[in-house]
Amino acid sequence: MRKLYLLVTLLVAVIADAGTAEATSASATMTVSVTVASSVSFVLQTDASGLTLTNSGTSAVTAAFGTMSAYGGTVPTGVTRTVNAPTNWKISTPFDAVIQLANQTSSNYTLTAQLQSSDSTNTWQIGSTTITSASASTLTSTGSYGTTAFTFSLTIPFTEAAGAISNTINFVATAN
Amino acid sequence: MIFAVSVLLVVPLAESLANAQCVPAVCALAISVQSDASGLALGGSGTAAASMSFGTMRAFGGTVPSGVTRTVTGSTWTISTPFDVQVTCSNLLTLLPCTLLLSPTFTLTAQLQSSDVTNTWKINSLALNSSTATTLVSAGSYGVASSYTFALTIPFAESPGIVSNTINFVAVAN
Repeated sequence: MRKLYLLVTLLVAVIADAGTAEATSASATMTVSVTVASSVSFVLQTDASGLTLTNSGTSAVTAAFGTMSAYGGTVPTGVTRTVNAPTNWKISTPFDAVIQLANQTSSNYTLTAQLQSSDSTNTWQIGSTTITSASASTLTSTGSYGTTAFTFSLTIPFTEAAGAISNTINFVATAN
Repeated sequence: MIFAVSVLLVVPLAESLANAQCVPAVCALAISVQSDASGLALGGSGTAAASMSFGTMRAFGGTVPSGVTRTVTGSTWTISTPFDVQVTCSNLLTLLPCTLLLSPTFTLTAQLQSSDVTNTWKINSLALNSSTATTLVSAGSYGVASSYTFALTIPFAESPGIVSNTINFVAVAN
């Protein structure tokens, strides 16, 4: 009985001594940090007027023209065929380069292109610039960030034997 | 013992339930910020002073930490991750459920500690700023680790460097 009396006294004392009631609240913090680094994005995509690229919107696309011939046959949508008889014929199509810059100060970029494998028979061009495997060709040294259309063309001599033609073009964009 | 309990009930209930008040020595709230199972691992997870460190990130390429989502739009990029907040209500005597001494819900707000006019800070799509507290939930339940999604949107135009701020959370019994 004495212990119970003490407990009751203690409880009443705790409540009585606790002070004035106040809005009950609690607080916590979360500190957030990230180190922002600069970066460049470069993807190739199908141009609205061009041949449909495989994996469009990525940095590794494929332009497959299928089977074509200088005369007759089918010309894929978005492809232009030009015959320069009796010397050669050319196929061309526009494509888009999308280059974006984040968290870095740069007013423009330099874009180069280079053939991965040597081709001494056909002529590979982007715009009016001929590209080879020997060195990188500059397509533009003052490119504007965003989407830019380029025209790819491949010129094939009449004297070339029938068969598949394939190569890879390596593009490099550098912020100026 | 029975008499002791009845004394404890009468005083706080009379003045606390209607006013969302509580005698501090009798009951109290606590917030813990925790890592979410699907989110970035927090420093100090489970405490009232956690840290969320994303390390070095960039809009394009680089590494995205586990539990973090990166979204790139036309001129900005956003990093986001879920985290949990748990508000508990306790009484010092541990004889009664705390919610008998308070209302069964709470209001949780968040506020940036420092102003940031460049980046956009959000929790559950609600923008945070340093001038006013933003209400995240107005009727939260005690003892439940609720998931929230933190998001930070960074403009492309921002210079590289460290972005850091502190989010202050406050839970108030309703």
